[in-house]
Amino acid sequence: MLDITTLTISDCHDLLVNKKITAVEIVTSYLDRIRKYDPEIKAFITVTNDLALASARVLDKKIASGQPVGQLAGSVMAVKDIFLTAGIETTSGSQLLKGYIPQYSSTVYQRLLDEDAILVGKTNTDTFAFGGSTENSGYFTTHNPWNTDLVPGGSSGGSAAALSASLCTFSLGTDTGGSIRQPASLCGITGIKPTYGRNSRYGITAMASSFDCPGAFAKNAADLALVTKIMAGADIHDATSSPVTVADYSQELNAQTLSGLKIGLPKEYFGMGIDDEVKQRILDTAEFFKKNGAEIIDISLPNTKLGIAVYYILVPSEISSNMARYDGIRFGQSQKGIDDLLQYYLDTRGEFMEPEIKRRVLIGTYALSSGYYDAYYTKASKVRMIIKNEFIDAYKKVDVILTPVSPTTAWPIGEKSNDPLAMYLSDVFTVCVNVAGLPSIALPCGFDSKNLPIGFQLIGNYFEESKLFSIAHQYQKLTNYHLQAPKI
Amino acid sequence: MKVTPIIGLEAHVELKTLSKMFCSCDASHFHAQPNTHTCPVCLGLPGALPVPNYTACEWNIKLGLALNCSINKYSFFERKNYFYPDLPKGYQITQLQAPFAINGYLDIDSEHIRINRAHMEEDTGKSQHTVVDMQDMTLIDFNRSGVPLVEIVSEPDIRGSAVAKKYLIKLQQIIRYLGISDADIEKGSMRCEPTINLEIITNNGQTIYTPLVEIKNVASLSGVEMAIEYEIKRQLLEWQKSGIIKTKTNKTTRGWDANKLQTFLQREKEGSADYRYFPEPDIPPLEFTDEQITKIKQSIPELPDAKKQRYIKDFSLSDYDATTITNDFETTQVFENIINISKDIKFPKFVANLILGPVKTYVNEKQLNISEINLDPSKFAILFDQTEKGSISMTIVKQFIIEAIDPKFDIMATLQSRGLFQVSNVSELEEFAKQVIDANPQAVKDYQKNPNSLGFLIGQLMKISGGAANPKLAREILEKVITKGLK
Amino acid sequence: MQQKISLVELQHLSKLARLKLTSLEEQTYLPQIESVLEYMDILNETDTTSIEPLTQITGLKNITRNDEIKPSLDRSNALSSASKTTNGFVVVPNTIKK
Repeated sequence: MLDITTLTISDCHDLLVNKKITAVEIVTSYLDRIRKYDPEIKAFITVTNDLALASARVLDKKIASGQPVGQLAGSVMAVKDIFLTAGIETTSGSQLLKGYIPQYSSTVYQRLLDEDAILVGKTNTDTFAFGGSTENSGYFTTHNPWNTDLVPGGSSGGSAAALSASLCTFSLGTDTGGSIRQPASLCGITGIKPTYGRNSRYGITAMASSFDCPGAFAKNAADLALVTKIMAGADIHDATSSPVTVADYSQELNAQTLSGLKIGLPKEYFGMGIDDEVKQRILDTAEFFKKNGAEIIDISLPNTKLGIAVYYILVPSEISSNMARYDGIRFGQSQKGIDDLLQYYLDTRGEFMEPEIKRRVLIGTYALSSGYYDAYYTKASKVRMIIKNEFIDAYKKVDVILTPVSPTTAWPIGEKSNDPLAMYLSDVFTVCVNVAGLPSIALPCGFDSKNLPIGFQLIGNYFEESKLFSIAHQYQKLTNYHLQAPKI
Repeated sequence: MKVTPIIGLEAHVELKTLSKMFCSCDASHFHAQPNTHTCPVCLGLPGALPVPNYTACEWNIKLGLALNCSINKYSFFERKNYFYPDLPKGYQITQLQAPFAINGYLDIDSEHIRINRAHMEEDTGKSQHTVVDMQDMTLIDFNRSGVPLVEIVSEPDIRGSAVAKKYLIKLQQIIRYLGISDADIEKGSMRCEPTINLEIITNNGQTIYTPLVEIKNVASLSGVEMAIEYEIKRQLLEWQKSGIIKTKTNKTTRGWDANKLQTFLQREKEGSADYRYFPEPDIPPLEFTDEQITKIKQSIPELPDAKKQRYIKDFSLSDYDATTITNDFETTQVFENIINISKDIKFPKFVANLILGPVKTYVNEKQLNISEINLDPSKFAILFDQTEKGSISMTIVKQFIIEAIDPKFDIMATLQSRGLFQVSNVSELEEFAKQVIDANPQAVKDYQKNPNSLGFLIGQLMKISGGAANPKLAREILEKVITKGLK
Repeated sequence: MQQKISLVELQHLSKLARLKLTSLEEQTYLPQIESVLEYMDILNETDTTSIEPLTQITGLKNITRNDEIKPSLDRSNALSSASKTTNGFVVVPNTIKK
């Protein structure tokens, strides 16, 4: 019997429009699966059961009456709970926003809805996307479908786990320092962090405004190309969204051949605490590309080691300001019955902010405060320029850069949660991409001896998402790592 | 002992753009129902992002140019972080390092007041305090949240309350000439915060400075003047009592109590505020080209000072008349609209006299705005022509210009029907003169001895003409008939 | 090595950020933040004297909107998640000190 939940976006779409299956059947299959497996995986904060079925019925009527349907008709999406969804509770993984029903929807979510994607639920995340394991969620920790004792990665761990466990056709995440690529890698799926500004940030709770990047997870590069094409493009509500024309990623999937492709391999990404098995797998992957006609060029990005420091100064600085609106007055939870204004603020924010919010707000407040601003914020902004320029120079020699994503495969829940610095350092291979604002696609390339997925990333030059999708698609035509599913 | 007040003024001006600074909500908030002009952006809802209003930026630059500022071609927004319930995002988007306009000045009489900056920012929501069920409460209306504000910061170059007031009036005039704000202090579209301290040279030649005080909540021009006066006296007394002098950290904020006519302490130790400014990551920087700036400059209308000089030079208006007309932008518009109808060089002065005389009295009495009444240029022209011909008196002109506010009022027909034309016909006047001379031989003799006594005979002539004689012509004819006799 | 942050500074920051910390939290966060700040010293090894700070990644300039009014939120929707309202106003703790 056909298992709908294994189908790709295009397969589902074809079966639906050819009336082989109905949208209600699709949604029901996913909802059944969520009911069965999510109690263990805990990918979802909210499952939009009734709404999904209602949307499916509307879609089925459309098809029955011969009306045109969107490109994502037949797809079921899981959305990280930091994307605002009008009328549907959005918590940002924090107690601060428990019960908050947004008055409006995020632009990228709306664009997907407009193409008839059906929302099946809102997924778990580290509080406000602050973290890399979902352990900082104000609700619960999500479990890795490959081994439920392990973290799924984060912060978009809910969306990654949901897709990995086939609880949706595709899912949405955000990547501020690796929050799409790292969970994609730990969960064995494909994820894209587009160029900063490629996707609108409007309607997504802000973490660090100059770093935040919405993106997606999908079953393969071809699906991801389609979803990204729909999400991408300028938005009048986001002044930092780019007016650069969005290429037709789906049409260009075969535009880039591996033959003649120049792939940079930066030596700095193979030290710094990388696990031997991970390292070997990534080097083997480079070798695989070489065998298939690509040229592997050793390059150096010497300031990579500064990425973490730059990131963990600038990001908390922006966080400290972006979190200021959470005062419980216009929305969100608040402490009642406090007359004194100062006390009201202190108590409301003290009570409902999770520890990781507090840590980052305090670090950011420190970095921006008078006396420290130049030594921290300005200094880090200057090193940010150096890191960006280093990448720009590298792209004079290579088309893409291939690196590991996470120094290790998934680790046990609780292992690093009491050591914030150790947790921050595990972002070492992902943050520089955000520091520079570049696009990067993460995809699976094998397994370690514990049968845990290993992923690699291809970092492209600005707005070269099309090239990344195309290379990833060529790779996935030659390999089957992306077709492996966890046994749950 | 010599005491010199040192005063700097911060003025916030709400621009009258249609929409708000960073969102498309209606920017008008006066008398609007509370919280009806709000959206995710100006309510600071999660995920909302600001997109700047181009017109507001352009108007800031325009004002900067009118205040003789240099324009930062490259500028950007920054965040000023602080918590207050009327500030929804927990930060205000403003400009610190690279404001649109810097280093300008205004000349007030002989005083040169330097302007540090004119920068763009957003207004906060409006708080009001009330008691509900015996409980003190603060209510917030976010309609004002995000309305564009330009902050104009002077250097501490002002040396007295009168100059401070004149500076603000001039600023107000320029803003109104530019048409970018009503700059109405009473309605809150212009707000002023003086910062004052005193320089005291003591009798033994020592120079000291009293602690800085910023005064808030001043809601009228006279309030600014009074608050400064009050503060000068208070600081002197305070210093004489305590001897405390200015330090880096002892700036305080005082409020102005318009009922008690006193300032009162609001906040101590201003120095401890830490706003943690940093560049606004949600808004790309703005860069204006020389061409754009030139274009903005060309769009600036003639400003009060230049206009006044032109009125004096081209229209021979008195300094007083030219100043009074140019003080108010609407009056100059009305004035210029009227004078355009005639090329006669005497016409502007004629119009000025009417506008500053009967028209002004009329609008004051009716509590109207000059632009709200119908002043038809052609009616001014008719009255001017008749005056030039000597057919009507100034008294009639002044009366008729008010009656002519009624569009149906026909000047010529009314002069006719009421018989108000002056007799300027020479033979008719000669006839009157002859009658007067015959009837008053003694007065004629008096005149022959003392030419200054003609007034009596003119009066007699006016009387027998029923007031219709042209007085100027009557004098000439009487003189002629007495000295030369009739032909 | 000199301490980067003292307890007094941490308390000052928590007030500046309007964030009540329990003494247990203070004890937990102080060494954690200290170690993060110490790690940041790595940046001082790089000479940045001739480098401009990078605060905007896109290279975009002059992204503005035209001065046009678009519909606001319906008031009941705008205030739907506010903690307390009365007569269309948002009620907040009293901002005037008694």
